[in-house]
Amino acid sequence: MLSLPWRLAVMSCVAFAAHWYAFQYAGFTNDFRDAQFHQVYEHVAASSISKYGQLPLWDPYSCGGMYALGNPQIRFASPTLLLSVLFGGIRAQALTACLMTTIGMEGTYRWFRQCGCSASSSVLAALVPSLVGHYGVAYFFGWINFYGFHLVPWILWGAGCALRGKISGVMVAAIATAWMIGFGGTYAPLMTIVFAAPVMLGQLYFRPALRQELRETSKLLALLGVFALGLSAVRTLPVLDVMRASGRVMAGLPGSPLPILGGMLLMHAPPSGGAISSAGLFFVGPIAIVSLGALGIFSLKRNPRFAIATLVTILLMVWLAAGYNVRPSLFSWLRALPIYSTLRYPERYLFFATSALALLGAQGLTEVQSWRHSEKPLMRRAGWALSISLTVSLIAGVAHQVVSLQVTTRELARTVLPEFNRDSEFRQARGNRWMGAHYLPINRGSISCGEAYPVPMSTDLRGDLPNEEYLENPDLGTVRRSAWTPNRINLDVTVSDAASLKVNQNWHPGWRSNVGEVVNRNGLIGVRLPAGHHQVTLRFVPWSAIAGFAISLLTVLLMIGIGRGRVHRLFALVIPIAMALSAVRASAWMPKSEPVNPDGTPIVGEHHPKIALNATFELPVELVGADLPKSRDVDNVTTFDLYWKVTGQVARSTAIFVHVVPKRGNLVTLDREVIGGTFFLSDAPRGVVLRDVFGSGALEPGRYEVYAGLWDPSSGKRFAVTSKGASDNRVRIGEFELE
Amino acid sequence: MFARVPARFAGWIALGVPWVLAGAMSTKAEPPPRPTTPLAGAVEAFANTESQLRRASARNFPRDSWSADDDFHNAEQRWVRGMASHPAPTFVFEQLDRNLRAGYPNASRRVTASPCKPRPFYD
Repeated sequence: MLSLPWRLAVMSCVAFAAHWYAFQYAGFTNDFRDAQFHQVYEHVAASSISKYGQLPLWDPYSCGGMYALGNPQIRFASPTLLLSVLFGGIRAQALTACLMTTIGMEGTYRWFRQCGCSASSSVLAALVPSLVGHYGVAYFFGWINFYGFHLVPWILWGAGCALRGKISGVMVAAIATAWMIGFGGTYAPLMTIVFAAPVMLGQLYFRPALRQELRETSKLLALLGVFALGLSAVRTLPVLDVMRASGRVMAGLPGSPLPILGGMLLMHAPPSGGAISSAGLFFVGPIAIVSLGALGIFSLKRNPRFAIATLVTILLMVWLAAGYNVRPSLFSWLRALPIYSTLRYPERYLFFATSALALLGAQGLTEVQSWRHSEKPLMRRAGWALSISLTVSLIAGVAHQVVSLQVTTRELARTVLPEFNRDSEFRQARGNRWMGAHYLPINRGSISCGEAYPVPMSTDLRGDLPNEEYLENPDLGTVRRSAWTPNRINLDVTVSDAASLKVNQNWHPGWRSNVGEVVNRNGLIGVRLPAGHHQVTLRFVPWSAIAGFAISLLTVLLMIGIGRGRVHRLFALVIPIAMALSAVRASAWMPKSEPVNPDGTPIVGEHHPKIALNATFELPVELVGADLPKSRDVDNVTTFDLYWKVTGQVARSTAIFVHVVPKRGNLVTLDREVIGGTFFLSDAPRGVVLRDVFGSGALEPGRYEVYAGLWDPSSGKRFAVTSKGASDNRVRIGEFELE
Repeated sequence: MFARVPARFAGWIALGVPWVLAGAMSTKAEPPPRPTTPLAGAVEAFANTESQLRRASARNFPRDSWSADDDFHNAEQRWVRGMASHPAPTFVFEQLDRNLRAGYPNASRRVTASPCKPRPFYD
């Protein structure tokens, strides 16, 4: 059978073939908008190390400066950073994708072998989940961090070893989890837990030998969790630093009906016009699915209970993948758990369903292979015939997957970046987040920002300054930049009196100065300096990164000590204690942002609406007042402000409807699901007045009446208005006229 | 002895082949030349349309500063991509950057940031 190098060689060749066009275009920038910022993150991290000899903590090129290690989407906190350092962040993308795919194949092989599959069936079946079409889609969109899913089988294999009492399995699973998190997989580990739980329970339930040692194995699994937590602290603490200051807002009820999910798995539509249809999103292909399905039947004979458990896991994953489209929705229950509340894309559970199906297929192929050695001639012949035919069809299915991945990656929008200008000094530009990577060669940062979370940014950032570091009062002296690196800025400052220095980058409490005091100047980095001549050195040393590094290092030492039996396992409890203690220094963490409306005005505060309404509903929500437009603003926009107060429990599905009714013509709806783009009524602060601003750029001249109320968009039901004077369960706010 | 070495290492050599090829392919893209035609005129013409584009964006995303700013930048990047005679958008952005710096402090063109406030996710 294939030895490790030959097996890896075969897997590498398949991964290489699948990424053939990715390599053809290695060195090109992926011009899809998401890919642009991902490429900037990776390039800046790699050049922080290779050019400046610094750890990639701060990224001055993105959004006017951001805590790079705290960004949930970065993938550089993983071993693949080495490839980016060697080849450059953009050129290394194809190599990273190919390496992760090979790693995924080997991990899946080991997991399948652990589940009792033969070596040949494991090699073949392991290729199927490692070539799922979504990897091509991820490459197309520049979501290289999705390749972190290739570490899932390593976690399962490691956890499986731990279940068998092997401490080495604990190490492998913990390293794979930390790698996955460091690779930008903030969802992936959470999703893996959901998949691993039934798989592990299945193994425990159907294998009495494992069950007998439950006490010991549960200790090892707990150790695995602690090690994974500790190893990934270098990444999770900075991410917590960022996310507690400004989280994401999840809305909607994502989900797909079963036929659409089937289309995602079976059909393949090449990208068109820079977009990818849902068909083929998780392409496995009819050949591979039919082959695995047919083999799955034989797995029932090999180990019926294990096969049924795997089948149940597949069904659970498909149920989750359907999202809110099925009732009851397993995905909605999952989202109700606090750490799963920001989970997106339920269809990604198809990836796990495919892995489980491939496991069934490997089991089935192992069974028919065993028939070849039967004493019964008919059985022997059937064994040979089935082994050969189903192996050939599975190879054909894998080939189909390879071609599909090639087609998807071939179509990505791309350009080549020009030579990097090494003489140009770093400055912030107005930039363009849609093509941010194109600012790298001219050594410019982009203050135009598009991230999945509200990045703390200053409105004082400018993209045209002659000097990036300047005195607030220029009459007080001079500032000269003597050295610049992403994490450290050296300045030669002379001031005749106490002065405020400003740096055209976003503030974070991790910025320190050797002279004076670093302060937040309306979101910019500011330094209060005494009079005199100073060699100012500003350095970015965030507490969460220091604590994270220390805990991760401590975990490595504990893993070595416990692994060798030199340290008692109970010492691992130091890790969660250290994690908890690191949170105590609250002043060192990024302060929580005040919630603001999309126009920058505060949502919570002392509000004084011009129209008092005090309308109440059957729900504990009050419409306190409103401001109606008197005319259009300079941009021809008609503006509205509603003031709400929530005093009790409200269902997540509760939303606001706003009807703008012209004297003549059709009603205009300006419905609101999320107040100020920040809070659902269900999670809005209680007992305070919330200002919700919105507008319309489409209202014609004329006279209008405005009504508002509460409803449930999923059922269409309006909630009753309990205050007097309302009809049709809506509150009349007033009227206005547009010229 | 020497005859046995390749057999022992054949698997590792076979493993090395795709990776050597992959490494070589990763380094082959050549940077594009600087365009010979001046871009200043085209960028100036675009700059003159900025206020109009900003107003359209403000109407597309009323009272949503980040979305309106993002909409403007989308229009800007479409224009940059549309300049088919210039293969590298970087050169166009470089000229845009020069153009903005030349006008410092810009009163008529927006050069400040709209803090990132992504709209709620529906997927």
